[in-house]
Amino acid sequence: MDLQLHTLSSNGTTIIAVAGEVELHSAAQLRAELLQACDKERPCIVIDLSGVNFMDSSGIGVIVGALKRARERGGTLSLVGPQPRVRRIFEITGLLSALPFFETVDDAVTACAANTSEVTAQDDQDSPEANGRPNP
Amino acid sequence: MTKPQPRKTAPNKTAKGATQPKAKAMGQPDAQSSAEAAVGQPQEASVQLHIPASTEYVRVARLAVTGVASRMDFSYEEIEDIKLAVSEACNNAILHATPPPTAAALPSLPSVVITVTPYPDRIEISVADEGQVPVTTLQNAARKALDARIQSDPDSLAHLPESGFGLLLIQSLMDTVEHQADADSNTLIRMTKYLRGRGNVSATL
Repeated sequence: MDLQLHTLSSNGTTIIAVAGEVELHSAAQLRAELLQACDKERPCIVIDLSGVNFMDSSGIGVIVGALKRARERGGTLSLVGPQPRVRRIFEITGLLSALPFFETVDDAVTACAANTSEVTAQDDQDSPEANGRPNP
Repeated sequence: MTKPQPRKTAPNKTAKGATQPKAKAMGQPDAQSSAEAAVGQPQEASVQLHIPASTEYVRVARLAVTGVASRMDFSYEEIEDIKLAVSEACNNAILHATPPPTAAALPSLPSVVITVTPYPDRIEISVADEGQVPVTTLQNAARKALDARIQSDPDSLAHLPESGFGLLLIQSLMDTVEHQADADSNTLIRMTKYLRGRGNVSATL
């Protein structure tokens, strides 16, 4: 496949650097990697898109799906550095403002950590019953 | 811009087919009516590509169409638009032409046919598939399956935007988009992108 994925876990954050072409053929590979990253409580995921030189709507679908899953689990998914062409696809589909984009991986990791601690603080204040949800 | 020779864009194109339209256009440079009429005529023969209805071949279609568009006066950005639109159309065709896993296995993969025709003022691309399932049946089945999966597995929401975004992208990236479907479930999408403000390309050849 012509998609390279490099996953790095650091302080609870999963950083996935994607390079190559994200298309229908390779989208399953990215989906599998993201599902794995989502497979924990409050996943904090950063996708570095700077190495992606082509992406079609399959890639958008995978990212949107992973974002939903991450949020359902109380976590976050952030996107970093898409090239202008890839950025344009998010623009056309109206997702540029809907998805959390960051300039650098460091910015995304910082925002991710802040969000997680915020959620944790809220959870501490609320009663466990209110937020209680059986783990799948 | 483009070098007139050698040409190797169409494997099924004869030398006669390649030179005739050009010779005609150059032979009557002062006939304005001919020049206007030529806008509706292909600049040269169409390039046609048959690929198996399998995702790994979408890239081949993308490269072929990009090759033709590169020989015209499109900007880099416009070629990138065309490239993405072709990918989306091929994705849809492959998904439509591929029978669901529950169906009986086919002896061989159906084909998706991509036809690219350069005109002096535009490029026209059609993507046709040999649908294995009537479109309405497929859509109904997909909708039902999707509804079921959304209720049982939230992750399947990832599938929800894919086809919708694909069509949205094609319509945004190309100037005109047409769909056709016949009684045999074969579908065709035809899309056009116009050259903007660069004059008649045939005049530069």
